[in-house]
Amino acid sequence: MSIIKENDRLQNLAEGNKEVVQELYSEVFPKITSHIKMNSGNQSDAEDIFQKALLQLIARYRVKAFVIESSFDAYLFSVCRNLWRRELNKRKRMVTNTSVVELSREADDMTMAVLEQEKWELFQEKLAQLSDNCKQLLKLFFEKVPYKDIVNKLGYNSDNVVRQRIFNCKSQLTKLIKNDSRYNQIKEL
Amino acid sequence: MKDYSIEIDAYLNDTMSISEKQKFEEILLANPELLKELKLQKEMLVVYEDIEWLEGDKDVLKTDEAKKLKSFFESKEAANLKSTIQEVISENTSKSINKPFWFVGIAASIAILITVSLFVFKENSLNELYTQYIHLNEIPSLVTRGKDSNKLLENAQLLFEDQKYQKAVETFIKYHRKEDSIEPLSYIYMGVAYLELNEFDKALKQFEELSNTLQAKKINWYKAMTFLKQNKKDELIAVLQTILSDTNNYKYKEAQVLMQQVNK
Repeated sequence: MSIIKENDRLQNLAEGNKEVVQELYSEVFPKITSHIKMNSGNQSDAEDIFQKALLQLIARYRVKAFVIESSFDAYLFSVCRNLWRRELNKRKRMVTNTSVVELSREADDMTMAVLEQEKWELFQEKLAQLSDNCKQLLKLFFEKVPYKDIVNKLGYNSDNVVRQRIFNCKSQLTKLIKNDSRYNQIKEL
Repeated sequence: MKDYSIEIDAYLNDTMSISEKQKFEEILLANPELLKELKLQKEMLVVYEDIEWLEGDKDVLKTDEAKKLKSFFESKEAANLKSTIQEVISENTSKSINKPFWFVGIAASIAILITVSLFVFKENSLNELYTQYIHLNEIPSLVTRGKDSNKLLENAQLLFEDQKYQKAVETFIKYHRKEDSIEPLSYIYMGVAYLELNEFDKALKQFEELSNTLQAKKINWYKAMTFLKQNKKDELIAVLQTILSDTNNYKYKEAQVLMQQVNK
């Protein structure tokens, strides 16, 4: 679907159009459910996450109209996946989990989730701007693959070459993030 | 600024010796720029490793964007959107009744809990019904409301949430002694804490304190909770009848269902 059409969908969603919600439910919810069930969640977790994700998109659209660059479905899935990771993180920290949460705290939490998602998107966007070679190296680096395995895997001459190369790629990436006004907004508080 | 990339990497990968680490931490403390750099590198590790989720610093809630987002999430409109989404979900999963809803209003979730409990808890003693109805986490928070929240209150609530009721009670007492103007919700917290400790008379006394406050309408419901936990059926029925005398009373619907259960 074209970007224009995808954003029509976003707009309709933000207006509370039930048909769009149903469409997204049919298209994306089964994928979300199976992802969450495979990652220590259940059906009602999936429903919570689906609902939160849609609300998050609407909130972002309302506060500063944003554009979904990829397909809506894929984007919604990635938001759900992140929200679920976030939820798992939280559950690790808290023993009791409550289904009814006070509104003000809930709103704080939803807000934090949006801001964290935005940061995550910023970081992904910057990584995508690097050369393919850098992306590949950094991916292995961040997955904590040992240097000597990277040497073998990608056919470099030595540890040192890989080390140097990764160092350069990482500096580029750091610079890209730091120079983005969105990062500075987050930072300057 | 000197480039500390190598040190940062070593620090984050935990490959420094203890003395190196101490030395680097001293440099960090004296150097806020470097600290920011370290923070960014740490964030990158978490985000790109793609396993854990990077939780942000609550400070960002002070930004304009955050304030706008928050007020949207708290708006009536957001509540309506939530119910629209919830409707679609329910229509698609017609049969199940006992799933927790994050966003549906408290009333709705209680209605569901009640349906479930009607079903399951036929032979319940009153005391067990108490567990079904008390909903500790629906008492509004003492902390996030005020701009400068009171430290004692905050601690008391945290203790309460940790189910350390004795300690919570002690902290509330300190707060009540120290402050001239008292947050009425603190009486609810303290009363419920006493309930959890089975100190019913003290609990009732706290709930009585609510009269002449904005929370006065809740007195009868919490009294009902007290009698429920205490297994005092006659008193319970009397107080439920008071609640049922006016449909506008706090927890009218719950009182209705509870009455049916008690009379079974």
